[in-house]
Amino acid sequence: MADVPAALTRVMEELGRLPGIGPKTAQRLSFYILRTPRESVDRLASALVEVKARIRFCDECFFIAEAPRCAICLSTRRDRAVLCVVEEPLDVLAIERTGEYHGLYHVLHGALSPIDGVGPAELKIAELVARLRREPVSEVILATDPDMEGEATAAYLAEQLAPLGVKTTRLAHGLPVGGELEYADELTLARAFSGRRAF
Amino acid sequence: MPTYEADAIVLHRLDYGEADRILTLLTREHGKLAAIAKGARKGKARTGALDLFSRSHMMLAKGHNLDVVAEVQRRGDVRHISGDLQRTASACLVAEVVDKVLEDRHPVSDLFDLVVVTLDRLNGLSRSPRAETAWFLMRILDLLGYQPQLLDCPSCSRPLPEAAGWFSPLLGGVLCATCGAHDQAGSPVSVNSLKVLRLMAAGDGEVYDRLRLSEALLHEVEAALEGQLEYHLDRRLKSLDFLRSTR
Ligand SMILES: [Zn+2]
Ligand SMILES: [Zn+2]
Repeated sequence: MADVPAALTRVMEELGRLPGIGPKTAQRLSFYILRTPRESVDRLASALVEVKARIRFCDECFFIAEAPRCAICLSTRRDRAVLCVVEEPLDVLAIERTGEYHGLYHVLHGALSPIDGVGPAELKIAELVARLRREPVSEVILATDPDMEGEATAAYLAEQLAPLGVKTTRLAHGLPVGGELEYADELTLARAFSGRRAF
Repeated sequence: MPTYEADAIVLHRLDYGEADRILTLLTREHGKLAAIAKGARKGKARTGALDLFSRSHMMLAKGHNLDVVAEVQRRGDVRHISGDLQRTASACLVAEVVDKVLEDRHPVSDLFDLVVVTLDRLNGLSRSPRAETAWFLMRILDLLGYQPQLLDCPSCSRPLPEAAGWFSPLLGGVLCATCGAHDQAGSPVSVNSLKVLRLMAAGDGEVYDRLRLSEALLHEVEAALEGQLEYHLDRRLKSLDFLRSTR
């Protein structure tokens, strides 16, 4: 069998590191890139470099930001007394699409997953507790995914937040169990928000 | 595509592609296998049956690389595990251990039954998840042939007196006081813990269920069984680290 040139192997390896991309897909994408005109590949490469250079995570809520604070945290039109805790930045986008929520967010960047070795220290939980000590928040909405890891995370957070005396609520049932918030349709999500109940 | 049926429990889930998941399944008929559940993250009606630790009757289609989950019919539920940190972490330990010890497509029906019973019991609210998990550990050690030596000292071979000793994962059992004095790795075992361990080893579930295990005793029993398992698997179990942090 002919050797694959090193430059091509490198692209396959790098693409294969991306989540949800197996070796087969990495191979397919690599050959697609080989066949693609130079300008498109340059655009892709510079987009990747630029996103890394210009986009960061908000120091306050860990959503995506172009400055130390994200647009939501900086906005004067948001209700600063309500905090919605989600697993991923994509969940923020899904909730924003409903137009029903006007408070602030806190992105954990994952959910507790004992099998995968993801414990509280791997998530932005200490940052959440510190934030609640600092800011006058009256309600924390636990909007982690309605699956085993998301429920465990919500239970853990409720336990950690209890001594702070802040009211914690959980999204209403109706979200499909085992699914992810990010995929819920707008109406379902809006209903889950309005029907939230004390944890 | 040829299809086949399976009585399956979800041991692990991994996000894949746009909205799919790769599931590690424990099946009664075909042992452990990986299968892809298309669109599983979108939360269609059936996804509840594909959550961690769920058991269902599945129809799987032979795929090119991975077999595909074609149909799911849920059997029972795990709703009391969900939302309970300690029960979830215990179920994670069960899933992690089973995933580690089984080879792909080698069905071990005793092991399947053990997992079904353990998850069922973890889902039963009246039971202490710690006591259930300890019982599971003894049973899995038994199935793997690593049951600890609890009658004779594994170092000097003398019968163990009804006295406190020292559990040595390295030697695979409880050492007498004399031999235990020289052992570094391991954990202390009180007279009562030794009795409970022997009862567990004998498989006397009825008596075990009636026991009131104090925190101190449970701690010794857990330390011995967990030490034995980690020694024989020759690796740290991630769920165990987590579980210890919840105690
Ligand atoms: Zn922010
Ligand atoms: Zn001895």
